[in-house]
Amino acid sequence: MMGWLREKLARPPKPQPIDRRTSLAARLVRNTRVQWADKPEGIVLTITVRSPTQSAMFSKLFPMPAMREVQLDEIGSEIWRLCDGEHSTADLLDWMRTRYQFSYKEAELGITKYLKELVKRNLVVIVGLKEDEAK
Amino acid sequence: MADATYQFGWHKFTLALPEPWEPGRIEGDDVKGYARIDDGFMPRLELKWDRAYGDDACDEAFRRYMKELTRAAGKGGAAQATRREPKEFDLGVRLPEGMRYRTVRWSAAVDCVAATVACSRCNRVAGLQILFPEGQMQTSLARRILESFRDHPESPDAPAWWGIYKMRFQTPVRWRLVAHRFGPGYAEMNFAGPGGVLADFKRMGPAEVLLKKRDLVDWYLAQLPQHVKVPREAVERSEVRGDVVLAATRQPRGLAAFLRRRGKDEVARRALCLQSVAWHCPRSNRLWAVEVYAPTLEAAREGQWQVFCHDEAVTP
Repeated sequence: MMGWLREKLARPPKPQPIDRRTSLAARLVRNTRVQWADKPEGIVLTITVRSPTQSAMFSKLFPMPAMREVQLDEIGSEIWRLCDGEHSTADLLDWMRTRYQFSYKEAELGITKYLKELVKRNLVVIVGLKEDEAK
Repeated sequence: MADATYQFGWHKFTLALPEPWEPGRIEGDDVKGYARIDDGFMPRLELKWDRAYGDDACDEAFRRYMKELTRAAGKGGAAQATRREPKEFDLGVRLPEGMRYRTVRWSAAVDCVAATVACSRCNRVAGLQILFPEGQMQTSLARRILESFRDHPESPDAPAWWGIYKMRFQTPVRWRLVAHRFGPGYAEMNFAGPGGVLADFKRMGPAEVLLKKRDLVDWYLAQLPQHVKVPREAVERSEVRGDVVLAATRQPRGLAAFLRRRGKDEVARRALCLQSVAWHCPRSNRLWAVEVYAPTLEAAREGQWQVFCHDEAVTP
């Protein structure tokens, strides 16, 4: 009984910290359910808007569109194109440094922020590699 | 080790660092602060500084560091403590007169050459930790870094060097950094000098993206502080070595001038005279703006600064 209780109350094990080389070698894959179009002014994403669940009456009075278009800027569009499952975070950093003459830290900060946002919105998935594969 | 180095400069500290090493964290002021420099994979250098007086400032700081090191090693258990094995040794570095140093090396999850350097001229003590991956300690690199370490400009009138994230420039030594903001494609450093002088150094990019939908004048006018209005006609356009350079001056009128006469202009940039230069550097793909505010235009022009936007120097 006590053993069962202890097991229930036990904290889940902490996830192992990811090695920096492994995280840089992770591939970036676009969500296949996101529709996007490559236009001359940049990439346009068509995103499904979640319908609000709390105020059904409010949404009936003021209906929200089911889809929303997001226009990415020049750098954002290029990053989106590179999220093809072939390129890694390190590739993106190299591209940004050579294409726009960013320093390593500048590129790292910009890419990390942008990828976090894409991942939060379920637009991109970061697929990790095993440590030995990364090396 | 990468051969290319650059001159890192922060609060009058200067160091020659390998090109890929850049600050990962930076805080504090000229009296007390901390900077961590990374190489993209791991921290490579930690610099901590504080006020210290007296001839034994270096020994005292070294003693404190050793105590901290032993205590930190103790926390990791006996095995960790044995692995650290701090050993004092002489790196054989020659530092300018008035600067004293002591060095120690230790090994744990990383290898480290640490030094405490005290300067009797600026009454500051600095602690440096140069870190290497386990088993890859390079004392020659540590020696080169420590040899290049300076606590202050060479002479009392020499300019102060600032070098961080490819933002490299010189300011009058009495200008004090009061604020800074670094982000991807954006770096800004704000200074305050004697006589109510304020100066802003800004570096933005990539220029090809920022200038896609507007020209340099529009960009320049848009990046000015909210309350500082410069009419488009007041912006002079010229060419220096083939690059477009903008220059603008502004003298406050009306209420702003009244406030200035009443002596309430210490912080309000709009009440001060402005002497400003902005330019597009195609080689580094960046836009630069330097704005100097002072109670009079003459005072704003007096501040002798110099920017190294790629390899060439730009002066007012």
